[in-house]
Amino acid sequence: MSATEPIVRIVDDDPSFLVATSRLLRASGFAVKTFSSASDFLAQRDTDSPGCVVADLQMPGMNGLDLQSALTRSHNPLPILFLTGHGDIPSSVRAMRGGAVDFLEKRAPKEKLLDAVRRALARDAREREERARHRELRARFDALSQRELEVLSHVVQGRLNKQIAGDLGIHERTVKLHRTAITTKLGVQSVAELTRLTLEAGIFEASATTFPKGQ
Amino acid sequence: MAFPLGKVRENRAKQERWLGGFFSLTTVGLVIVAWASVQAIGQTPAPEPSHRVLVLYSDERLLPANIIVDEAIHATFTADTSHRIELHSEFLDVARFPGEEQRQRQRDFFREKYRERPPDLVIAVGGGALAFLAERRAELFGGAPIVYCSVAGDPPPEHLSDPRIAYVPVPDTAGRTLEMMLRLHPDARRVAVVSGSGSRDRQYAEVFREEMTTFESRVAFSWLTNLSMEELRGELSRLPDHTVVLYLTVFQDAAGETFSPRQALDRFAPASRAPIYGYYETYVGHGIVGGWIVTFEEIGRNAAQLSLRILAGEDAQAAARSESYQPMPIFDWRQLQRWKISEQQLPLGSIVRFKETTYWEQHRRIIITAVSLCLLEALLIVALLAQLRRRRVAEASVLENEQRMSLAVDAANFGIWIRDLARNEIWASDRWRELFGFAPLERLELDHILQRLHPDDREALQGVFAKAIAGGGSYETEFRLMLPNGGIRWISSQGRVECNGNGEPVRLRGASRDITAHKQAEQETLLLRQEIAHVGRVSMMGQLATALAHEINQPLGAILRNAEAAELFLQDASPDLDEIRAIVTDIRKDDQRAGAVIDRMRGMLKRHNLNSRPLDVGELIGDVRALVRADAAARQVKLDVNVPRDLPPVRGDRVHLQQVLLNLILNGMDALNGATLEDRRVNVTALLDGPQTVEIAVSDTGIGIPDDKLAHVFDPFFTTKPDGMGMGLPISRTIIEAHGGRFWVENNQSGGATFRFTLPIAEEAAAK
Repeated sequence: MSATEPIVRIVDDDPSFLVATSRLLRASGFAVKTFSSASDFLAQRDTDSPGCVVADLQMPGMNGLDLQSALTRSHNPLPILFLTGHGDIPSSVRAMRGGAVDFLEKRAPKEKLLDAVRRALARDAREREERARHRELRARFDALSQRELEVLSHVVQGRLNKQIAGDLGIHERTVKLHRTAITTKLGVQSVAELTRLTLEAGIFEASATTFPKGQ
Repeated sequence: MAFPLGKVRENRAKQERWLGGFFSLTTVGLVIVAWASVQAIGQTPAPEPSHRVLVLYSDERLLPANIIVDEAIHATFTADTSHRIELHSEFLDVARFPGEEQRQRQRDFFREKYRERPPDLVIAVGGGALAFLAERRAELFGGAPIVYCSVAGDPPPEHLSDPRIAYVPVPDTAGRTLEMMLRLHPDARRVAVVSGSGSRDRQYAEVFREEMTTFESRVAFSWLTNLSMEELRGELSRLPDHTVVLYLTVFQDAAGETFSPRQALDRFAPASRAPIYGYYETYVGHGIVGGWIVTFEEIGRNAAQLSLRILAGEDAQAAARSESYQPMPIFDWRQLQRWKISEQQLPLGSIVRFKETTYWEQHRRIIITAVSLCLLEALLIVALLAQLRRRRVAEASVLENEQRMSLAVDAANFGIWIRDLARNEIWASDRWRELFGFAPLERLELDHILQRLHPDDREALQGVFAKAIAGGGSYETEFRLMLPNGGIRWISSQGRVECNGNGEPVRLRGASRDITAHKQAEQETLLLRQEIAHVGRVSMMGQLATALAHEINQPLGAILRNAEAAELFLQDASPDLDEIRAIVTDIRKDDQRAGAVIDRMRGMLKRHNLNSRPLDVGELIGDVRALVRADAAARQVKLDVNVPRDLPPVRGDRVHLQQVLLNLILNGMDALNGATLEDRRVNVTALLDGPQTVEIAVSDTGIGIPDDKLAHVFDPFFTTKPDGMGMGLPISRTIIEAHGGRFWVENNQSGGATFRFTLPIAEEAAAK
């Protein structure tokens, strides 16, 4: 299997069900890896390559919900799909709130299972792409100097060069120079595009209102 | 008091000394001022010393006893204002520098040293110094008088016959100490005597040996002597019970190591498993419990006083005879604690040193004063507060009486009314008119008012009135008002009948209040309580079903996935037969696993697990009906029960059978979900079915069970309900079969389904 081929990780403490499910998914054309416990899975640090997790909800030791929260905290959260012998409403609610792709009984029809796995893999691919794009965007912003970021924060608030110069106590010509540097480094053509990218990168989300003014 | 009067307490003495010190300090201050003024007037030359006294010690300067004696002599001379004494001290140190040659050298040295300033009197401390002086009297110090002082146990020197030597003999403290030891330890059978190996140790031991002869009939003595320090410690740590230790001296041990006797005591005392006594003051505080002791301070003071008298011209022997020592019992408080010796047992006049006084003992007077002041102040505050409060209460009560009535009426939202029975007139407050829906000036008639009541409550209220009027008492009742919008208002009404002088009722006076919200809350609570009871009873089977479903879903899920995988593998052009074989094997294994789960459940409900006893069928069904009554009412289902009175009791487990009936009735009610309002019934009937069995049937008026599904209703996981688990009926059937009965289902001809099961009649009843 190639490095980019998504892998379905099945986590279940019942060896018989683990083998049966992996057989069905393999027969249906998926690449599969099996783990007999949540801690076993986490210990293998196999969360970076694309794919998804199919996990039993009730497992001794670390259960499915614990695994879910551990995955959520990781760098590249894999989408998770829960299977359960008999689902109770509170844990299904918790699972879905925690972002689970689906919550199926172990005897759910094959089509439902395969469909859920396909959705999980699709979500993983999409999220991976988003994360990559976001990272690339942040990298571009990281190239900006502290002063340029300061100027940028004023620009995206719609302030004119003259106002910015007044606020920061610098010459208007200097503001213009900073703006040129910003558009070049970020590779944008217009203020509208600049604003959209800034929003997308979430640069000023927390600090926009408290950004230092003046000296 | 912690101990009887007559005992001197060191700490008390300390306080007094402290006070004394304060006064003497003041005196010193005054003296200094006086002296300073004298100085200001003119320099007066210091007077020539009237006498020189040399104190010659047998031992070294740092022997603790010598330090105390030296200080006492010095203090006594200083305190005497009639003479000015110039004091010199010399130390022979005979223990460490023995031999005649050493003595000769010391003699030569002293002769040269004191040639120009010869002493007028010499005090010899210890036998060594006395012998040295007496033997060289002619060559040294020109026949100056000698005052000899020694400690208890010193061997009596040979030179005391010399009339120029003044000596106050030290009383026997060894005997008194022994006596006291035996009194404090009545069960002591042995006294271990600790003594060193040096020549002086042997001298002291010899003196003691003579003393102890009088005791040998009363107690056994064993000697711990000629031992190294380590051996001594070992011996002391192995002492048998009922032993007490008397410590003489250890200047030197068998290994040749030299000590001051106190240093030696410090070394071995901690190892001893018996209390140690001794009669030298320097031992107190270093491991001995205590003893009869002539303090070194007294010895020094005594010697100095005797010297002063001789210097003043008194006859040496006469002066010596008039002086005497006063031994005192001295104890170490910490040792008393260690050996659990009560202070009460100590001899009269005992001095207890190192006593840890409590905070209370130290500051009793201050504490008592402070607490008394606090109490006094608190009492004053309480008295003032009480007075203030009385005044406030008096002021408030007048106002309060005025306001209380209207406040109570307003706060409780009461509507007030009065009905004059004679004139048949009714007066009511605005709030009452608001509650009952009358305009402020509208004329009130009893009939009109009753018209506004819920029809079911009218008669009851009239009855309450009639009874109150007839009985002349008060009443309290609740009723419903019909509101114009079709709603209901609950009213709580209280009233009282007032009579005239002849005891005839003349009017009714009352108050009414809106309690709708209260009633609603009450009803909700009731419903909730019923629901909780219901869920609690039903959940036993629910929990069992959940556990089973989970356990059985594992193998069934595996079987399903394996079968699905096999199907997909078989679609290949050349299927992997090994894989498929493995799948089939796994499927068989999982099927056995699922079967085992079912077997376990059956086993749980086997006959021997049932708490079987005779049960009345009517009672059994009645119990379940009571449980589901609230549910049935809420779902608008009519629950009919039909059980013949003469039905014999059946044999079974009450709780299990209740669960079966509950399950069937709830199923029946579920089946009515689509049925019309007119015909929503669940019937429970019981009848005799032959001589051995009772048949119980639960039927509903729902849509029935489709014919093709009729055969599957007892299969695990078969369910027609969206949230059903399909476990209730299989478990019910298992329970009935465990009771030895049969369980089956049929559709009714008139619609709906009937579940029937049989139960065996209790043997006792069947035999009749």
